[in-house]
Amino acid sequence: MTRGRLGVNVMRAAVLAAVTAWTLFPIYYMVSLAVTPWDDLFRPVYVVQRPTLDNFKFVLLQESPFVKYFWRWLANSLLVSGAVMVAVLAVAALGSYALGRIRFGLGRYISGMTLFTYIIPASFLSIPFFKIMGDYDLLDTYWALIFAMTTFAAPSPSGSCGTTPRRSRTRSTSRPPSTGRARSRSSSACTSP
Amino acid sequence: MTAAADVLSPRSRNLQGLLFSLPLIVLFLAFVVYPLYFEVTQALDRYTYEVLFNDPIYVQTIVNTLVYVGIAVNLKLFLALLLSGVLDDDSRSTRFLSAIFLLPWAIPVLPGILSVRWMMSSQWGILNLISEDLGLGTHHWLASRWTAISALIIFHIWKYLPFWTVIILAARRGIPRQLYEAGAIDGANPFQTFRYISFPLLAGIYLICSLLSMVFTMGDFTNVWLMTGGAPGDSTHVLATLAYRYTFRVGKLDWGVGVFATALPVTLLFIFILIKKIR
Repeated sequence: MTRGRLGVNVMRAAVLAAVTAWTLFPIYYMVSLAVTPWDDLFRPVYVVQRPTLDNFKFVLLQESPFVKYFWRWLANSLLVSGAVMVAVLAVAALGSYALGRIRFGLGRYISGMTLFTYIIPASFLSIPFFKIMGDYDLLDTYWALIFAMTTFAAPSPSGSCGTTPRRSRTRSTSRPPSTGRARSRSSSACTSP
Repeated sequence: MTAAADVLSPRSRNLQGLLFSLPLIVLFLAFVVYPLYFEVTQALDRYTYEVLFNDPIYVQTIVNTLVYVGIAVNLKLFLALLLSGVLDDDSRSTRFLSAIFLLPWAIPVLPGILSVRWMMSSQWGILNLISEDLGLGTHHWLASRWTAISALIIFHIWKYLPFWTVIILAARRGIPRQLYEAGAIDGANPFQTFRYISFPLLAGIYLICSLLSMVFTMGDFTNVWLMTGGAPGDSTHVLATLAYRYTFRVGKLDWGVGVFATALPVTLLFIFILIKKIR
């Protein structure tokens, strides 16, 4: 019994060590590239010889044509993500209230619709998107980005994955049936491939 | 349920519900239904498919997509299933390692891929340094089709394994302890415990995760575009990158739409199965 448990623990430790190394290695490399001086970049080493923060200065002060508009780009990102956040909050607050509290007959279809939007890969719609953004006269504007992102971000906080009561499948009895809000929290995280 | 909603008739409740979900509906119609409608009507042209099916790059792309989705998703979820068992533990050290393990999920795709690409550079990448120090010689990792696709699969697993592990771990935590206690009393060994208790209770969520991840990965553009961009010689395209190439590099929007249209039936089937299963 004890020997078996020791074996299991050693194996666990080995697995955890391997997983940690696997996880951290690309991150370590990322960080070490960031502090590698320009001249040393093309000579591979395990540990950076002369770490420097020049690369950060280079970007922050926009010292090269490649990063000439760094602050502008950062502002674009902030602007678009801020606008999407506000839009998603507004759309999803209304939608989740409808789905979670009003419990209307057509709610089934609305939640199916949000689930569909959530699951379908955005890239499948990307080429028509380019065309229709032209139709809506939104090409080369922030609005095109904001509308597209809001469309795909709003369904999940609206509680698409489970505001309608459903049969518990693998869930234990440990959790009481909850309302939309608690459920949608677990599902709203499912945003990665 | 609020008191106000209770006193309303079903009909006015429907009206109220529809009004509250109106923004969602408008977005859905304008940015999901209309693009899909456009895609399908554009894709009805037979000539497009004659071009596509006679293009060796298209055929290669379908194979790539099947390999990428099939191997990356299934391997990732199988690892997630195993790893969730290792991480299902409340000790302080495991919790700390779990937090570290989530880092790839939190890091945006771009820096992750830049790191891996530089790592695999045949001239100045650290991978060739390691490989040489181990006496395995140097390789052009991203310069041949199957090593480049393997790199894609490996990056996919690195980046998304944490997320699915957390999902399966959450499902694992929902299995009642009593079942394991009963198993222990009956003298079940770890493998039997997994085979007869954990796995049957995780099978449903495992299937949903597989389908969901397959649909998401089928539409993957970012990872492939940043990692290989279809190179070398357009041999590592997947559906989305090929459609992009046709549309914006070749200038044939209908071919680009056609690429997605050929994958749409399978994708829609998966989506409907998922909607049925999730609800």
